[in-house]
Amino acid sequence: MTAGIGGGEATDARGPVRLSAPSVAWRLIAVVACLVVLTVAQLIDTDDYFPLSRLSQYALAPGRDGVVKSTYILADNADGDQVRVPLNATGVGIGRAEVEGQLARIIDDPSLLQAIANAWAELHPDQPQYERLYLKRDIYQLVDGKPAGDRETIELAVWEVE
Amino acid sequence: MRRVIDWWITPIPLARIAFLRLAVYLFLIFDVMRLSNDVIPHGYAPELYDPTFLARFFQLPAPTPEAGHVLRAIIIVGAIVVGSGRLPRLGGWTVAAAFQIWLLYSIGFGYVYHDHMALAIACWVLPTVGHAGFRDQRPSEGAGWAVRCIQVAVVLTYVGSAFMKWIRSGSPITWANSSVFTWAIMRRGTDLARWTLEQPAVLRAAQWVLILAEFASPVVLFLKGRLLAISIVFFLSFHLMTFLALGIHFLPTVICWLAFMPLERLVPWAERRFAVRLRREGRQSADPEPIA
Repeated sequence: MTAGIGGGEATDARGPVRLSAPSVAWRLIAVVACLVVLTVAQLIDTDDYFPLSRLSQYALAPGRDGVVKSTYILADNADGDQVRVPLNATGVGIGRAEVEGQLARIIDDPSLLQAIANAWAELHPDQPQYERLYLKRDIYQLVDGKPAGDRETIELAVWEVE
Repeated sequence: MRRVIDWWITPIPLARIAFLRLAVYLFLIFDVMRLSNDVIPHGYAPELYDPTFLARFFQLPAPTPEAGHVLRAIIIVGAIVVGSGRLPRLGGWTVAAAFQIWLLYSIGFGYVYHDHMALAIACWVLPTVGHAGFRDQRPSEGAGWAVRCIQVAVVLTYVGSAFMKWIRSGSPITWANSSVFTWAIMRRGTDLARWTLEQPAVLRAAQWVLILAEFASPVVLFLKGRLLAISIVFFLSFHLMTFLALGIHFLPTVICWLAFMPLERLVPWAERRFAVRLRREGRQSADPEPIA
């Protein structure tokens, strides 16, 4: 952009616009408070204080011989087809990461999957509706950092749509 | 102590705030339409609402599609008004509050993204500056504080991320030597990136570069001129790469990198360019426009 151009030559002669002492004080207190909350959020590993939450995206460290898990939902629809449920904002409005974030809750209470079917019905009334939902997980094995062998699929929950 | 305080309120020309507002508020419109655009659909699945602290504290009910539409309308109208320089305080606080609620509804369903931290901070600090014109070259401590907050929030996005990698995996070395990029590409890699699955050494090298850059990122707060420009290009290139490889764009943080750029020089620069062109074309009047 304009880097290298000597700006500021037109600076007003009146000098900088200063802040009063109380104005400086509350600004610094706000900064310190936010830094404390953000630091605590990292240390106790919580998302709860959003927007000052843990910055944990991709913080996990799967080993070179670890496994990669991927969760998804399949649906039997009214046309008799089995389809992959679009877990995103324009599909059912609930994202894959959100399903993974609430996985324990959904496995405990599969009736929560009804919300996915309801959202699909409201957002896509003209499309074939879901009759049964399968929450599934694919597991891939890594060997020395590379994907190896076939995937293993497990079924985490099933829900008959009401 | 005095030096620390002075650093937080280093005077910056008000024109930078004017340009930052224009960019940030225009971006908000794009954000609510295309990025955090799950709020209205979330209204159809209220059973899965899993509110975070602020939402519980203010007792925000589960979102409805109607509430989503109203919030989005407030944000878009407010962004146009404030971005164009009107009602910087009243309008700015309104947009900040509406966007904060909007984000709480977007992240309140089991997944919190962290690319919005700097943008959320920007929305809260920009209204504190008050009126700022695009040609206003007066340095202001209030403007300096707002810009500093956005800059620090950008940097902390990277530093915090590096520390979480450390905390979660026990040591930054464990993380850097892990298979995390393989994991990411297997889950959501684009066709451009899938070849790297056969080259785990390349991915591990990239992991080392990333975590070292994240730990080093606070340096940009103290860089100027060419070195600052190179650093900005480095981090923006990183985001471009993760976008091409994984579809992760981090645009809300990217837009906040503007706080590091001397945006206040845009008007004088454009005026000089314009004056030179007029002179070349021989239509230059006797007195060039004074730069306000």
